[in-house]
Amino acid sequence: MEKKAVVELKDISKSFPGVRALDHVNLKIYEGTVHALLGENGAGKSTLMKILSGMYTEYEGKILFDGQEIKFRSEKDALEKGIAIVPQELNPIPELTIAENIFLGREMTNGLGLIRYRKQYEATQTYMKKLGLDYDAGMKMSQLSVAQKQMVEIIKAITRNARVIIMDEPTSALTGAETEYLFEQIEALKKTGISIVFISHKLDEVYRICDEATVLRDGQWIGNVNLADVDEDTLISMMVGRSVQEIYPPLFPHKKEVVLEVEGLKGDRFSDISFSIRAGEILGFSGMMGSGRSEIARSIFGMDRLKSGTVSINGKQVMIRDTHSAIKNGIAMISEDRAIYGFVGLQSIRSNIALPNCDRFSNKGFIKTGELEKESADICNVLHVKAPDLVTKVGTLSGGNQQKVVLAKWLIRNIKVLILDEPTRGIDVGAKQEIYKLIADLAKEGMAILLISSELPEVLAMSHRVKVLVNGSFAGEFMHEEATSDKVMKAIVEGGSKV
Amino acid sequence: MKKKCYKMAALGLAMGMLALTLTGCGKAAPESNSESNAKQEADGKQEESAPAQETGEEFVIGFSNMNDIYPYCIKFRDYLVEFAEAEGMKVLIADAAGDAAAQNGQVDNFILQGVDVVTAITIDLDASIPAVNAAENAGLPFISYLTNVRDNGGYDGYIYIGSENYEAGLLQGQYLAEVLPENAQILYQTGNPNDSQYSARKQGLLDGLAERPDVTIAAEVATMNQKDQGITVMEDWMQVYEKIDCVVAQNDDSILGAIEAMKAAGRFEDVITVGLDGSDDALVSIEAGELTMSVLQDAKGQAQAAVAIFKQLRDGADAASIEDANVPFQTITKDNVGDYK
Amino acid sequence: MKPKINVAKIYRKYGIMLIFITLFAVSSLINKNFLKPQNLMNILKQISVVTIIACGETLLIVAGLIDLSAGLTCTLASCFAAGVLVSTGNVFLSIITGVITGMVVGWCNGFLITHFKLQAFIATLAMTNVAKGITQVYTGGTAINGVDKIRWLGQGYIGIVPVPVVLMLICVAAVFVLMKYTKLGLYVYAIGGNEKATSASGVNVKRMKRVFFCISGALVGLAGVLLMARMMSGQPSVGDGYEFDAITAAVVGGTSFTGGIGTVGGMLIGSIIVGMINNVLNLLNVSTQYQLIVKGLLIAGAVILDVKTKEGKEADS
Repeated sequence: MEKKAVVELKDISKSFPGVRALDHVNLKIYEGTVHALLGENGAGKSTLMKILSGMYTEYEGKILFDGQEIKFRSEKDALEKGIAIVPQELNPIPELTIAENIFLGREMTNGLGLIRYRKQYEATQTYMKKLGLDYDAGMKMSQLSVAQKQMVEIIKAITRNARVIIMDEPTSALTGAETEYLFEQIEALKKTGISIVFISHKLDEVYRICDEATVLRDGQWIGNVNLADVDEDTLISMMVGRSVQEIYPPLFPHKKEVVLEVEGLKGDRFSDISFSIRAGEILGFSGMMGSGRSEIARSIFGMDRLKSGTVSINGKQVMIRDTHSAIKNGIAMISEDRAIYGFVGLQSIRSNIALPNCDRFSNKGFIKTGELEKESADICNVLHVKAPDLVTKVGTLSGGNQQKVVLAKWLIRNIKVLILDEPTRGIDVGAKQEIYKLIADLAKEGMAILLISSELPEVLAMSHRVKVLVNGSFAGEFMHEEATSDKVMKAIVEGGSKV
Repeated sequence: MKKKCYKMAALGLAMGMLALTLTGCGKAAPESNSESNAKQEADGKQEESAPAQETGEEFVIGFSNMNDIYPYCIKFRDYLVEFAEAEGMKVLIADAAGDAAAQNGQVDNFILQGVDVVTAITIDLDASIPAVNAAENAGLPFISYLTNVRDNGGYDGYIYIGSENYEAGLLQGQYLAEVLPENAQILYQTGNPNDSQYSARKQGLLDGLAERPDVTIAAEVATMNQKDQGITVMEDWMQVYEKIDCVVAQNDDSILGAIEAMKAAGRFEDVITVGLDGSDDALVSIEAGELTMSVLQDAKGQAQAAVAIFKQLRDGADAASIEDANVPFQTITKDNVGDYK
Repeated sequence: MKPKINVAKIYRKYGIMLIFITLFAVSSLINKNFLKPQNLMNILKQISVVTIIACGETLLIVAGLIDLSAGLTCTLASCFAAGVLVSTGNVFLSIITGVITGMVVGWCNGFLITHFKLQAFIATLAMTNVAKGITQVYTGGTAINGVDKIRWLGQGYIGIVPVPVVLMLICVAAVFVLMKYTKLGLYVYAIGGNEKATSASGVNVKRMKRVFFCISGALVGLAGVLLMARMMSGQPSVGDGYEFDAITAAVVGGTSFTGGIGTVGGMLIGSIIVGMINNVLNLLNVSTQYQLIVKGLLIAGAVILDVKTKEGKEADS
């Protein structure tokens, strides 16, 4: 059947001072299909989507909508024509309810211009019921989880009669079940003739749900493929431009000494947590969002208060009162929200590295710039941080490089325990590989590592041992050799039903 | 623990400072009774003076002051309280901090509290009329000190006690008319031009200089009657004017600032300086031969006149029949400053 | 390529200097007295008290805080310092008293904010009234005279430079060094840029905030001593509103209310700009009320420019 192209971008180019962000890129989206947009960070995907969604109005080339050439004057213009975008960084207004958010910009008003909140609420409620969601449309956005917020954004796009919905890394914050649900919705949307542009680094999902893919690399259009015809490795080499070896590095055997021992930990979202990690061991925590993994990590690192329980390093019990005491005892953590907890965007790479290490880099209060510069340069080299120089503001770096800077500031210390919470979230394939190798090397040198991740393949491949968490307690443990996704999922489901 | 010591030290320091202030290391206010009252005062709050003897039906006066930052206002208030209490009367005090609306609110409060007479240094010619109306509706006499409300707010129970601002300006002008050299130029520092005081004082000054058409006001800047601005403006004026003949201000703080600036620049010789208020600082300056002349608002005299009227009201006189009291300003120069210290 | 972006970048780096030079040129043309060396020195002298306060405000605003009590605390410090000078005759003691007064108020501000989790805006606003009240109680509302021994501070010269200007420049230099080269300075920018990340790096943010307020308070106290020296009296009615002038200087100089951005160098230029405008208006005999309007427009303009040049950068992918 001859499929109609709803949107076509032809020969799109865009430059910024000193950078050619896009160079003659093509994208053709057919009605009722899911089209993947692939490429490493910096490849130009965001720029392309910003042009398509009307945020950027200056560019070369043309956009065709239903065969007609069109130029969007603004995001609002594009939205009205039917192009909606669900961004990766969701920043809904926290005090708005779900209903208010969905109707934002096109509120239902009565003759006097007053907003009919009741009607909006009911309309939203009905719609969500139709979709099988059981949220209360009167809930405030601030009360929702990341996954729920995303769902609201998608609903918003749908109710705006969008014909093309751009989803940027939609599953990065979703659990397995929620992702499944999203895919069901996408299938349903396809049937109604809506097209989806699916931007993601998770190739297994891309293969699951997408029909075609367009690959960009360094602003260049590499090609458009039918996903039924190419395999993953080919796709990756298109994206990365070089042949790809195994993504995950081999695991080295760990030592016998126990570095971190945790007993009877109890906090707000977890209880009766006891485990230990040996030198050179990578312990993985798997589980749904909200199962308490991050909360446990935060408590060990001193960001949250522990209700009871003990933490011991190298056999000696330590008092973790705050982050300062945790750090002093050799514990470091990379939080899942690196933009909030990981670095100060306005400050330079150098300053960020100095931040937890001021005692070392200061003399009578003055910062020893020379020493700081040298050490920072060294660690950034080791980690392959790609940046013009050390005074570049961390906020301007790509996700992968930001994460490396966050790691750098810990790694120049003598760390015994490194906690990683979703370390590769929002990072492209190339950078992910580097980070995996880094983690493996650190383990090889004897560091005890706690790896928390929602990406099952990642956790299973990188950990010596995987523990499964459900509702704040352990529901299973698997050694590397025997761990599979099925077993882990089963443990989660069974653990959940034991409540 | 270090944290605790740090806190204790800081607390101790704070207490020490509090102790320092309460032992009155600063300037002493006129009489002891009023001193304890002054210490209790804070913005916009009302305080009661210590009641004298219990004579059954006590005569209560409500007083809303214009602004506690002006030394004159404080002086007047303290005298008022002292003399009133000596007569066995009670004074409720509030400070409006220059806000006419706040003052009107304070007047309303006085009425609710059952005062026998409402009094105030009214802040604005027009904006203070509601206060007069409120008193009229409650059937209470309204006394305005120092400043006036337009057309007495249309109330015949309105009494004015004060010294005309116009008269103060006039005395300045008349004095200058006598002592200024020929073709002298005056640099004029004023208060807030929206204040009713401003126009009256300026007009008086101009009228007082009427017989000296050779004298001009070369420059006029509103220093808001503040000392720091008196300094700054004078510093800038000294760049514009080679020769300074005379500097006049609408209050003492401002002219004292101007004097400091001129002294610092070594350009104070033979400059005639004139202030207004006759504050303690001004009297000291006059005595030292720096400030040439100031016009003393007789706070004591005004307070005495007020209490005399209170007595009349207490004895049952009808407010409409009581005459306004005009307490004259006094010209203070080096010659007579001794009488007023 | 696109002029829009270039303007933003240029302003961020050089904007304040450009405005300064333009204003300087215009002022020289409008009034022949402006360029007199004595006048230029006067401007620096006149901004000295507020600029010292602004050093503290800049530090606080960069750290994501603010101090609305600075003006009346300056007054309080000046009155205490005057009182001590009159009763003990000891200049050193007087200066110490002023500085410590400022520090104590600063510490109280910090305490209210970190212990009771009050917003800096609210807490310092409350302290304003406390400072005002204590000043009134201490002075009885009248000025404290007899501080002749401090005359050298307010009216003296070191070479051709007035002492207040020297003191101001020392304070600016000290805070400059602090913010740029010390651990504490790094913490100021880090806490202002991202408090949570800084806390997650092991820094005791609460304690740091109290320290920041103490430093700022000390500067306010020192400014109070200078104020007393300029006035040659402890004047309880002067100083209200100085914090507004200080914040204007900081913001015009490029300090951002969102935190994490700003320098005292920029603030100094901002303060000079405000001082120049006041000076020219005085030389032209314009009423001080109009000066208030000009200052208000200045701060609005500075904030608009600040916001515009931030979002003027279109992100690349």
